[in-house]
Amino acid sequence: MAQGGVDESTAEPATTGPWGARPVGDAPAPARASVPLTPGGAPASFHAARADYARIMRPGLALYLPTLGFNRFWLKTDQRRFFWLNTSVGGDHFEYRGQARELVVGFLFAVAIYLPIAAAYSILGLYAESLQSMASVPFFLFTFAFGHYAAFRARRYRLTRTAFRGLRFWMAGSAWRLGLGAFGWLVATAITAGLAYPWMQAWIERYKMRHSSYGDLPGGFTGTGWGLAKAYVLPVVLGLAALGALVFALAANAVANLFVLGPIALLVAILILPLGLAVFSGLKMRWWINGVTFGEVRCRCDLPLFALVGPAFKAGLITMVFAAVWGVLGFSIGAGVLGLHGMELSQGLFTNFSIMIPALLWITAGLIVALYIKAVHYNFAVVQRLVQATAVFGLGALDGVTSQGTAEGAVGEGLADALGADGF
Amino acid sequence: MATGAADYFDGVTARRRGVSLRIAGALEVRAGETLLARWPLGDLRELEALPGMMRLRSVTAPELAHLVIADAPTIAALRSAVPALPPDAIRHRTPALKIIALSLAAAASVFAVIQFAVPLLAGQIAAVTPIWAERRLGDAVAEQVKNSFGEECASPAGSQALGKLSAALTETADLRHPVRISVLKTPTLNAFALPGGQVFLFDGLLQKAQALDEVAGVLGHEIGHEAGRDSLRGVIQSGGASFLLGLLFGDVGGSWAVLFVTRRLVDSAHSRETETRADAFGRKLMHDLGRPAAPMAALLVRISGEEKGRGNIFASHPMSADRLERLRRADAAAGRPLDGPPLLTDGEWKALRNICAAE
Repeated sequence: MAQGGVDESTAEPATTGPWGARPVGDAPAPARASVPLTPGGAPASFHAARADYARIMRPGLALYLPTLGFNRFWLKTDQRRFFWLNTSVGGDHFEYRGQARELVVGFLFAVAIYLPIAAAYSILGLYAESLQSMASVPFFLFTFAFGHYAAFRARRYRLTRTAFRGLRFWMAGSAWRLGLGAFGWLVATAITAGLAYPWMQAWIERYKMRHSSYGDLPGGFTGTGWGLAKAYVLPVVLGLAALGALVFALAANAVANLFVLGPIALLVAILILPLGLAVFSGLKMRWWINGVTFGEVRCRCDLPLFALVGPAFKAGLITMVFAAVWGVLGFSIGAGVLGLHGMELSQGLFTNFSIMIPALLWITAGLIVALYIKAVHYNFAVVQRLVQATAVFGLGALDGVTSQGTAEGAVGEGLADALGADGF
Repeated sequence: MATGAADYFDGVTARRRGVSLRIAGALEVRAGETLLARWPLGDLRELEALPGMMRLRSVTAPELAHLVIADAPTIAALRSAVPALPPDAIRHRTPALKIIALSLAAAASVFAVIQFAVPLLAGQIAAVTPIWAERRLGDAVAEQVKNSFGEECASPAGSQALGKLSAALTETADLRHPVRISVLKTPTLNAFALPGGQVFLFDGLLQKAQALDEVAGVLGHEIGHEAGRDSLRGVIQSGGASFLLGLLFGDVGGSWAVLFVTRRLVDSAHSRETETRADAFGRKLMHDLGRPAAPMAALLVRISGEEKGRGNIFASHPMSADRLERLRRADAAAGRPLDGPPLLTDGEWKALRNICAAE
């Protein structure tokens, strides 16, 4: 249970928390009993197994096709409820108090708001493009800013639906200011050929966290752009290595006597890519958790550099095997059925309704299974490992916190859904 | 009766208080001797909890006030004291069938909007779009068409013949904006109308034509698209439909596939309508010029082979054989001989066919 940075030898008896001895009611909760507490630092724990998550994902994803994806609001709510409930800090677990029907209503409102904006946007964009090519770029930038606006409001919804120790989190700040700021940073990022990107991320997270609160305890963010930039170094090196391997593979392919090296280099490139991505997402999440503060409360995440590589490869491997089996199976069934009618598969795949629909349904079902594999074997492991590698310091400060903030409507979530914008 | 111990959060501060519980008509929450809360048993609701734990709140207490009970005897005592403990409203689960019904309703309304409201709206928007804006849109597309297919052909004699044919067609058709016809140097068999009055005829189609009336009929059909501002309406309509369907399906893996199929179905249904209308326009134009309309369909039948019996639901154009039949009947029913003067002389027709030939 103990992660890096938590010294078990100094663990106090489970019946005393960082907030001092508990006066009455000494029976330790199961969640609490296993938590070794260091003075000032309480490890976060994750209480569910992969099979528990699979039990939520299976019915949720099974409904995706029959509901044309409309089920996403219910699945999202179930997922959050699951992750919140199973994450505890200092023995107290989080609670998600959002409901799927709020998301549906928020989505409908968002559509009503977004439709005229999108219509105006596309007409103006089309018009600008017809006056001069590339003239629609400002409109693209507007979408970017609007995406951040929506993500900010979506975050506000999630945060105000998050309760811990009987108080809710909440968020002030202006979604428009965040959107405009992000817009400015995007311009800076473009001018610096991408170098400013980590600083943009840091600015956005700082803005979000500085306007977040837990009760009357103000949030903050100590992560810096430089800190995030360092997280990019190794993945960028790995990415360049992959690119180098790829170029080498192509070159080797061109030179006949190196033809064995070509496939090997290609394989190296294929292996390096998920490695880089897994390392990068771990580093980025670690950077974020380490930056989060609420009053005197600090977090420390000691996720090992390669902690997410295993799950990434496992999920990738299972997906590849599945895709191969699914593809061969689909192709054989298709060819077999068509053969009975004396046709060839390629004949009607793109023109014939009765061939195209089953084929696309087959592909869609396969993609949904792939989503399931990724969720259960990768996403779950990411949350589990991140939580278990995190310790929270200064929880004693929470005793004096009083309630503040009210629940926010879900229109922001709806907008984020419509725009495909999200964040954490 | 003392029931046991719990942790209590009052929903006003973040403080965790160890409390003792007692059931005396209501659930009494005490820290030492101090009564912190008294929750009527009927107001109790069970929240989600980790295995082996119990969490309770009261509907009449602050929303986030709750008790966390971790020891088995206390949980057992509470369960026997309040046998039918209702779950908190937040745990309400929508039945799968209801979700399916809701999503079908949503899908039905989106399809209704796409089927009826979007075409209507597209027509309205197209009607108020100034022709110069439409032309600019068309110009932007025209550049791309020329880049991907081929240069505009302009042999002097061919251009002259094309000019004469264009003038005959466009002057007879009652058009609100000028239409410009050009031939592109590409073997592709096609002809189409862009927003804003540009009609492209591909050299490939021109070479397949055996008579001038075949080409004139095709051009009449395309001029019909221009008169109806069909391209502009099509752009607005399919943009709107894609957008709505995208919203409905959300960011689901693989929804692109469903999107693709539905889009094609919706588009083809509408374009079959517009194609029929453009056919009617072209037919009337040819008849006004005293020429038959059926040769156009004969050309289409020749290039597409027999389409009969293939049951192609995605075909955006009405099936050529059906078209030929319909236009033949229309020619017969024209009520006057369709033997007016040819639109071009034989020499001019030859020059038009050679418009793309290298000088």
